[in-house]
Amino acid sequence: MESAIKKIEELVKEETNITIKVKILSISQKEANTQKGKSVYHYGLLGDPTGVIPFTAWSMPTTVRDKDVYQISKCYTKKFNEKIRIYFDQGTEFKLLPEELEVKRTYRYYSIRDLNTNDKYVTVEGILSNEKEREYEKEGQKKAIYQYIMRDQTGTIPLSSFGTKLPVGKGVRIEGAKLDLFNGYYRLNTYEKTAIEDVNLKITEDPEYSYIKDVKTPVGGIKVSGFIISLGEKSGLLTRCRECNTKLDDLRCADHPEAGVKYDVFIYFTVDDGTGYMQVNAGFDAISEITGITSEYLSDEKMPPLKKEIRSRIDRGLMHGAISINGNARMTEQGISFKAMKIERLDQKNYRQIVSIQEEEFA
Amino acid sequence: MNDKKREPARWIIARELRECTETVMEGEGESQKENFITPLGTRGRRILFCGKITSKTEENEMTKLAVSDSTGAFYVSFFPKDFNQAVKEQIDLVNQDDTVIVMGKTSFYKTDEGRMYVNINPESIRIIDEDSSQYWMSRSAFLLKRRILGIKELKKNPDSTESSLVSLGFTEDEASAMVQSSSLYSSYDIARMEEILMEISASKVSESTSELKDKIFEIIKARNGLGGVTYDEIAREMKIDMQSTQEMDQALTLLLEEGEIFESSRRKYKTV
Ligand SMILES: [Zn+2]
Repeated sequence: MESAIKKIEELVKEETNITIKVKILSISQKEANTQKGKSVYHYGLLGDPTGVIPFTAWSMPTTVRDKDVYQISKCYTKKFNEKIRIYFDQGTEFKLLPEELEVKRTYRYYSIRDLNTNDKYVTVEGILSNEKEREYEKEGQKKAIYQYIMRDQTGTIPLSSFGTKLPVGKGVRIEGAKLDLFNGYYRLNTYEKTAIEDVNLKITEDPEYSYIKDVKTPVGGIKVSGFIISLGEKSGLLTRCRECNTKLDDLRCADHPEAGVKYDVFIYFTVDDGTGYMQVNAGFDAISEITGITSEYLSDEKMPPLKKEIRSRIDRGLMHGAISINGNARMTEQGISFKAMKIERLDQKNYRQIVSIQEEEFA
Repeated sequence: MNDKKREPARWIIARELRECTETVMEGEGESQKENFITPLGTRGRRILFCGKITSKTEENEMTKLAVSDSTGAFYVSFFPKDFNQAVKEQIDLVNQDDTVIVMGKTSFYKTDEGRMYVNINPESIRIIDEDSSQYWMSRSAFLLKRRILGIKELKKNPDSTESSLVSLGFTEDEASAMVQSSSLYSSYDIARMEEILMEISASKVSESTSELKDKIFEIIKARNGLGGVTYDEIAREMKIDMQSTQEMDQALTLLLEEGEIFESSRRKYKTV
């Protein structure tokens, strides 16, 4: 006997023999080892006008497609990690309905590079890493917050999860994460209503190139190419106090006049890739390799580094060819400010990546 | 920290600049400046380009350079003044046959026949490597291809506006110049520039093939004593996927045709 149709929002506890009328939002396939050997199952998201819920299909007709509407009967729910999930098995029946079904608020998907706080709740996909656990108190109770770095092919963003540990090192799809701006950077937060799904993602360590015209978002792990079209006048050698590390205009620190000085380099420049230009700052770590300025050279007690020599190495290394820059964009009052983490000469491998992205646009 | 007032440097190939016959005034009141605008929708008064110096001459104090990017030449002239000593130092360091990157401001003069000549007043000029020049050409061709698509869209749908172009994915900057250009050059035949674009991508292939040719030659030469190198060994050494050997085949054919190598037995090669 068929039971009455349930709404997604009514699915809050474990039960069996459920009938639902839903739209399939996504389907992925996965291979699993079972006691009987390898088997393939499907998982994804489905929704109705009251909500969205993840499903797992141990068995499912091959004709079931995403974006179609079905009446599904004889399925069951289970709770895992405090989250409810719907399951299909061999007994589950699917009836394709020739109608459209409105699904409660689905969150638009964004690449990390394209996030924008005009859309506060979003869907993102990526790989989490750098897990850190912190505790906080709420109403006298100790609660945990888990912090991650999420990476996709276009950039990285910090992500905090309240109370729930998330899977690290594999692809996740997060629907309904909350986006906000904190300390000049975007970050994502997940909470009870956020749907988190495993997905198969192919993301390489190396981010894909962004066009400078598209660098508008304060996130990390952005890679751009271009030529330096102007180098800041004060770029080059600088001195810091050995004691407090403060940048010195004078030969000695006002607070630690006896401490002596140490040398460092800092540059700022405008880079142009034909689609636009932007200001970039870079420190020693970012330019050491491309300029050949070593820490030994900077810290040689007998032969202090020369301003002119440093400028000439910067000119030789950076101004005579196309470069590739990896870095973080930050929101300031003046707009986006870009800090380079690594600057390299554009090599053939970089060049091929750039050409293939250009070609994609006309494919 | 986008310095909004900075005059953008347009990446433009020599041939597109040569097609230019119109200028427009941009800006308000006193700060109005004359900008070039091409039939392909590039508008500006500062350009950035790469190419090989084909001539360098000095007359009195004036230095003149012709820089070729394989589609045509850019004409640069420089007159030293107190404020541009840094550029003077840079210009003194470059010579004929050097591959350079130049950024400069444009100035124009028009003949009575309606031709326009563009002169470039350099703000910086530096020697670069071949790869960087190739990157510039590839990006400039990409941007040109985008604009050609935009101009075609404008010709196809006369009702198109800047905002309809923006909704297609063009930047506001691109859209504004394309709309203006399309009305100034209503009878321009865009097919000419499409042909040039094709030539650029064709020459790109041949450049990479000739590089491949050199590498393959070195591999075969290094193993000459062993009775030749098989096709598969070359592919393996070059880390070429056996599904995509098209370019390698092309390079091998060229080496055979030029008599640099010969087939010592079936699909086995030796240097002459
Ligand atoms: Zn100090």
